[in-house]
Amino acid sequence: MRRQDDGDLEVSIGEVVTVETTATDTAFLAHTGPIQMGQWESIDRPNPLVEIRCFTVNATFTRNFSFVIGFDFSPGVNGLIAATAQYRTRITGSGPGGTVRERITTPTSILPTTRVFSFEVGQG
Amino acid sequence: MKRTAIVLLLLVCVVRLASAQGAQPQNRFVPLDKVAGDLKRTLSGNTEKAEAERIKDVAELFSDWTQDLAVYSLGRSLYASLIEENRVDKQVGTSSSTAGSTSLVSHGSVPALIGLAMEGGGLYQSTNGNVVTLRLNPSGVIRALAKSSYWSSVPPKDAALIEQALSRVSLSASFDLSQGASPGVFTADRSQLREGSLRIEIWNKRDPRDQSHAAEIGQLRANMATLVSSVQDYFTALRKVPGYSQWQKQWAERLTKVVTDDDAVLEREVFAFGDDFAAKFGASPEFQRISGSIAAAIRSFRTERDRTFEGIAKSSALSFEYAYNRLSLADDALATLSAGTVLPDLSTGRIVFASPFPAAEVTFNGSVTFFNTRQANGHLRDAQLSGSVDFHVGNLPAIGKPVVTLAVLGAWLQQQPFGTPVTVQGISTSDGAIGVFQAKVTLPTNGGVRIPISFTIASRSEFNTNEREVRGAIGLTFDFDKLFVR
Repeated sequence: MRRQDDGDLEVSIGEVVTVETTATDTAFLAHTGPIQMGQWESIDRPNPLVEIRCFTVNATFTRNFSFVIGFDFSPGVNGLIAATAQYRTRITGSGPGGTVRERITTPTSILPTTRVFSFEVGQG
Repeated sequence: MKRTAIVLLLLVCVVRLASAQGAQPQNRFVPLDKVAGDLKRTLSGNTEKAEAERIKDVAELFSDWTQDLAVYSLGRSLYASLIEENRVDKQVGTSSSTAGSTSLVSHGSVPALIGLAMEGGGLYQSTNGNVVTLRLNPSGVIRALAKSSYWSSVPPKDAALIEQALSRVSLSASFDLSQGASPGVFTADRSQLREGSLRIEIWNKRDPRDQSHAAEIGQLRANMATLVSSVQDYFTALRKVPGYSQWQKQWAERLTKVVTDDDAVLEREVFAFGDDFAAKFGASPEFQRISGSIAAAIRSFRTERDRTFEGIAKSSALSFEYAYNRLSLADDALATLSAGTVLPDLSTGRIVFASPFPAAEVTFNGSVTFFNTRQANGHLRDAQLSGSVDFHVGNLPAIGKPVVTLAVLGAWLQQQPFGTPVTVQGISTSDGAIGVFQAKVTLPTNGGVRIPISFTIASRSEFNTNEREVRGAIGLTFDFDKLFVR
């Protein structure tokens, strides 16, 4: 996986992309949408605060594709969201390039919030 | 010396906990606080990188801000309707058996870290009191200090059994300011100690992370699908707009040069960025339509989330409380006792059960109190049953949602309340039944402070068996948990 100038992640045909989302100090309230013109291959929940998704880039994927993750935060036992609540999203690919995209999402003024992850299928 | 050390330790704990929480969200950047936060995180840590790489770092953030820019394009007023949640079920003050309490019924939850309450007046006891109560969860405080996180005060699901057990324990101490060598001054010495208590939470499902709520949380996650889909539509449409890539490149270069340490500069640039986006792209009818869908999806989701969390917050809770009480009397009443009479101390066992009820919280208490030393009719002093209903009433501008509590208590004194007859102003104490009704309004303020004002009618006091007692009381409670949350 490589990074392009416009911020897109460049992936290769046959590359396996892994998206790991980890919640801290909140119930897991991250919702990952479908891949635009693609398919999630596997979705695992190794524990209630972690979700790991994978897809393999194949010829059916369009040249540009993306997906969106929505994030919300649960209140604690006192009814309010913890100042330390956050999600860590980490995207890695099995192909060449070695780029890792990592995002920390903390509570914002308006919830829920979202992040869009955009890809381009490389020619190489 | 000991008292000074305790007070200093508590202050250090509070300051340490407060500082450990890190920076609170910068309100000056709302509604583009995510944009500002991402820029700070990205630019402050990569000053060693080449400029071209830094520009790429910023450029890749643009897709993350799709929702923020889309909603910003609808106008800032949209963000004004933030929902503030208030819980009604926390007991910060002393238990009902202490003079000076403004609560007839002990509630289902206590603060996860530290609570402080100052209460004046009395319920049905013959003695009024001005009581300061300190309540804390020792394991929560230790964990929060060690891990610098409020939420770390909740044990992880894989915590050792002993750690989970300790987290269910809270302690409190109440001091009567009218007692001691300097009446009216809080000295926290033994002569002012009125009550010490230990509460054990037997069952509490009010943490949204509890596995019993997995299905509700899963459903809530799924309810985000409409929002996610709308943001996807916006992003797809945006990428097709001629000139967007060039605009993105120009702004990535400009934002890369922002000194993120200077909030004033960052604020100016972030809002210039948002305004330029709204003018060039967001104002078009097509983008306004999708922005409207995003805003509607946010509102719809929030309605569901509020309903879900409200339900979880009102899950049932059961706890047991042991309280050690020291009886005290005014000097003129003490003078009527025979020489050498020592007032006995008390031990109270109490079961507290709280449960949801439509639009309210219902709490039941059952308790028995024993003299620690045998009296004329044995150890049993009294048995009590009480119940209360708490509910919000409206939303007062600039104040918040007051909570109204209606409570009743029935007490049966098996023998003299002080173990021996006591006479005050010519009236002697007696055993028998007492009925109490209380109406209370708790006014919220910002920052965890609440002001309970109560009005109580009792069929009699411990002293007077013939006349009704009418009392008013006012207090001040402070829940330190609220210092450590957003």
